[in-house]
Amino acid sequence: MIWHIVKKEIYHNLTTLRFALMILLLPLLMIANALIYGLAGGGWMAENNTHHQLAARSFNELKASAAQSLAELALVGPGRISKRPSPLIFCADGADEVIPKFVMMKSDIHSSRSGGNDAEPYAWRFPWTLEYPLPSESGNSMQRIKLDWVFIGILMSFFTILFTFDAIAGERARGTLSLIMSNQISRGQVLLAKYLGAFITLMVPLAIGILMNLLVILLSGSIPLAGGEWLRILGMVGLLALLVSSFIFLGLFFSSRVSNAITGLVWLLLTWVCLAFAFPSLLGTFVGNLNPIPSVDEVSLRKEAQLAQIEEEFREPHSTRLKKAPSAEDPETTRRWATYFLARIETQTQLADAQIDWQFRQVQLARDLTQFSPIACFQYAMEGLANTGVVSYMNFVKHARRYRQTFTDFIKTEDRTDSASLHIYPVKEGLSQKPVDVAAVPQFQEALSHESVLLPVGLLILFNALFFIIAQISFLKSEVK
Amino acid sequence: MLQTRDLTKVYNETVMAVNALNLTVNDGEIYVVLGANGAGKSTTISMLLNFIEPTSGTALIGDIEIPKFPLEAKRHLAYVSENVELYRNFTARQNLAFFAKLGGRKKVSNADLDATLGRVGLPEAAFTRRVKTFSKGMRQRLGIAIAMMKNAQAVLLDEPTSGLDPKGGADFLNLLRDLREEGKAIFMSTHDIFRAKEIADKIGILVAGNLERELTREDIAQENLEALYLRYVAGYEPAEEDSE
Repeated sequence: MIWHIVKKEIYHNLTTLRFALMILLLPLLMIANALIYGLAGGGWMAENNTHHQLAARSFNELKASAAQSLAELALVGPGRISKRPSPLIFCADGADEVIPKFVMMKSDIHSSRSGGNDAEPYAWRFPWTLEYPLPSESGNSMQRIKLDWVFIGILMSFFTILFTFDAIAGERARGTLSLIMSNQISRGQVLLAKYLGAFITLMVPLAIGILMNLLVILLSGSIPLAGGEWLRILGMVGLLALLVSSFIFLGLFFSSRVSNAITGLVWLLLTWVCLAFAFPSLLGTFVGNLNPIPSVDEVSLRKEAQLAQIEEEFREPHSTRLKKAPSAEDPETTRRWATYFLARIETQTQLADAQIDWQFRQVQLARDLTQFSPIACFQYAMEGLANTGVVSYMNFVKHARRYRQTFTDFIKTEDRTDSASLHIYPVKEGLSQKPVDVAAVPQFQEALSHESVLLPVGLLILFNALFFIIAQISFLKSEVK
Repeated sequence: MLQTRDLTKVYNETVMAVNALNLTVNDGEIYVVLGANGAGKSTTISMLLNFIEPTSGTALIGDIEIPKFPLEAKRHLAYVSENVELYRNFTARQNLAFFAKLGGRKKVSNADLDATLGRVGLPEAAFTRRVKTFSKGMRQRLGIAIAMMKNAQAVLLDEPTSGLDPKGGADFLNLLRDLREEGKAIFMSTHDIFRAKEIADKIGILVAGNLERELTREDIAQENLEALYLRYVAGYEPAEEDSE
């Protein structure tokens, strides 16, 4: 019985202009997506090559430092740590172009002191610290609209509205709802049939579009996809299905509430605009004003002030504590330099970590608040699976911090094996002067974390359940005629 | 046989739509219920189809209590509504096939469909035409075809003749006669006293949810139905010469 209605719904939808529009638009958008992300400007491959070149350069520098000595390695640091470009960026762009793609763990060459004068009797460099680059500026807001699967998913939610606004109200107006209901079929079955009819009608063109998209990507060889990526793509198709499903229930809810289909459409469009654009923007602005992040200048000033205090404590003209150069023969002075360096490292690390943590907290708050929208949940879950967007950068930073500790621990452990060393970290003269086998140096491992996917996916499922319940209750209470 | 027993519907605990309605429609009988707008005609039909729950009382099709076993009851009920537009992008045949399957027909051949469409007087050329090109009369015929195809024990018609021209109305009544001949219990609501008088075996006059009068075929022949209607429905006592 249900299948008769499902088949009728599908057939009915197939004969509509909206379906013709969707079947034309979706594959076109999907092919355009594959071409833009796969081929335009060298596509993902070019970005990946750049990443590998930079990583190789960084490794060579690390190798050179390790070949010199452990002390040199401890001073210079592991180098530039780059975030691997996600091959699934075409699914969820996550505004990755404005998000930093690396962190620096390298001694800044500009922070070296030339030496050779009275005030600076010898040359030296500040040891490395973990520094976070600033986000890239993007002047044109239109450039931020990306033709990724997330955008296509949002478009799908719009199409879903067009397919459901009259699903029940239209039947009521035509007098066919009462005719259907005069048969041996319950309201729940009618609702389920309506849902399935709309779901199949919407998912089939979407599936065709996705297949065409993946076919273009595979045939062009522009983005190589491994087994794990295919699984994640499958997960994303599931997310698209969940988004479409939630909007079908929402559409059925409004459609059952109103007697005029156009009224239902107006309500649905309003809801869609609020969920997709208005509320996320408003909440973003609200969160930004609620707890404004200190500006770069403010942070720089604060950093300069704190570093100046350290300088004053340790160096000329008020202190003569670091008058002498550190050396293996003078552990006392070397220890003093270590105290000085550690104080600077601690201050720089604290300020840099605090600044970025502040930004992350604000992003997290904005995300938490906007997750009442199924569209936002869909976007966050897609970015989580694609490993793009702010959360993937947060995850990258978390791993970079862990690596900072691992690298420091390695230097200290390795140094302990050299009995000739003073074991004074992080002063070059206080550490082992023996070369290090580069293979023993821990490498940065960026592990993917899909933890951030769990909450939005859970919420998306919850939205489906909630919208199903309200649609069901609303239809049960609504007039048949 | 279709029956109501003290069938009552009260909206929002204050508005009495139907008050303890008792009526019986026997097989092979046409029962016409007359009444003004808001008299409770459509509410009665809605309760008979379980579109709405009665506040109290019950209705039966055969020995099946409709509010208790609505799905089972609906197997024996067919419905023709006032303004059925049907699926405009579907042909007459497609509309009929869909509702026939929904009505429980396992297999429906084109020959079956065409036979029913022909029986209700639709021209053959219209069988494969989209319903959006149909006149109201043609759609009503298709509505009757849908009811016929279901082959239910009782047929409920909610003001089916409104908006039909005299020829369309007369043809429609002929279709009802055919259904009566087949032994169906037919329950029809209308404002049209002339058509009611022409076709009804029983007439009930509903006023503010109360069945004020029930007339048998003999009563209809003897009584001045127009005068009765004006008295009960319009609250207007016609002068002697008016009612002549």
